[in-house]
Amino acid sequence: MDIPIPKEEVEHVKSIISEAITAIKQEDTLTLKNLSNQTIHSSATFQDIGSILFAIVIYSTGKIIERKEQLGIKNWEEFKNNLTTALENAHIELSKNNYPAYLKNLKEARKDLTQVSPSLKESIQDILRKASINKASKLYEHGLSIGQAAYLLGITSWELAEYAGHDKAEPYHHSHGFTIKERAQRALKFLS
Amino acid sequence: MKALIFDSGTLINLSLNGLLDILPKLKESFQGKFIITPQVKAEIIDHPSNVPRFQLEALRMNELLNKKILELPTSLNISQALIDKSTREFKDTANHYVQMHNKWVEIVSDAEMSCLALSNELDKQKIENMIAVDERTTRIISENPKELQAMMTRKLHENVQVPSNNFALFSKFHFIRSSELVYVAYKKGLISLKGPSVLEALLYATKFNGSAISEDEIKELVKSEKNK
Repeated sequence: MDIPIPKEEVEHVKSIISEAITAIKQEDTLTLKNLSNQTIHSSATFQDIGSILFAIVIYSTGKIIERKEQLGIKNWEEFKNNLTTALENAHIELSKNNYPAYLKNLKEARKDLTQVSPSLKESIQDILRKASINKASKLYEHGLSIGQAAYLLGITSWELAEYAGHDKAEPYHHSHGFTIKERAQRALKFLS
Repeated sequence: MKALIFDSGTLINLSLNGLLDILPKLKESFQGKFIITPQVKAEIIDHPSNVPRFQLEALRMNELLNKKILELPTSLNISQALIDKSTREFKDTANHYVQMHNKWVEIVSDAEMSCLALSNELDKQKIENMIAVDERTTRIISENPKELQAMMTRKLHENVQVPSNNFALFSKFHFIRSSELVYVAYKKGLISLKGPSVLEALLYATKFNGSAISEDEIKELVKSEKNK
């Protein structure tokens, strides 16, 4: 399988993975959030599974670190080690241009999140689901349609509707010659 | 005969706002059909039927289908195969408009393009139609494609290219948002709530559940109604 992103972007992704590994070790949630946003920016353009998966993993990891005390994860250091190892392996595979193995390691990282503790499975699944909605809303903000953003993140358009409402609508309609009053009158006439 | 084609977003918007009941009321006085494509049905009924959080909404939508408030294109003798084929053509064209780093950016999906595909078929059959779409990307391609490059550049914070000048395929569609639908329902007295702020509240409700309507537009419409 060819890598679906250009060479310069591969280098960018590799540097983000390295930064993410450091941020996880240092439990730096702000950096993880920023890195996730940077990644989703690439996802809007290249729409590759790897970027989307990586964005979800590091965003969710940031949320788990934020709630560390509340979640009461017992094997915390082991969890961090497993996660960073999977990301290090993803970095190695990407350097070798082995995209399937890169994806496999990212999936492994996501699995590490869900398997952190059997009793927390539901809470972590909820964090992952919310991360997917968050990332889909970012893709929508980047200009993709709701349907396309929802499709890429594997969520429903229902979950995205509320987020879409907060995106600032631009009154481009005026430049095209339809004012809101004209649109309203046209609708009224059509539905009469 | 007329037809109003619904994209997923408009129906989701009405449902999340508890306003689905305006559809049967609007249809009573409408000389035509309310249609959803199989692609939209998948998004509003089939897929959410398996998501516990949206199962009830999916059942409500299905009820509208069972009661023939919403109907499928087959009710107009338009086959799914025809819609599927035409959807692929519209989607393929739309997803080859925006280019960044020498790669085409896929900006639209099946459901919204299936609405255009159906509208195109209805035009051929001389059936007057409009498409109810809440989100902006599809409408921009159709109503103001020159704005597409500027919008995508703003959104992606990078220079994007829109090499094509040929948007003719998308230029003939007529759109309505859930905001205009609730406006019509309000004007026809189909909203049970009464009072001076009802229209404004309805319009904001649609905005916050996905209708790409700006605050300026809401203020303008509310103001024009108050001046009547």
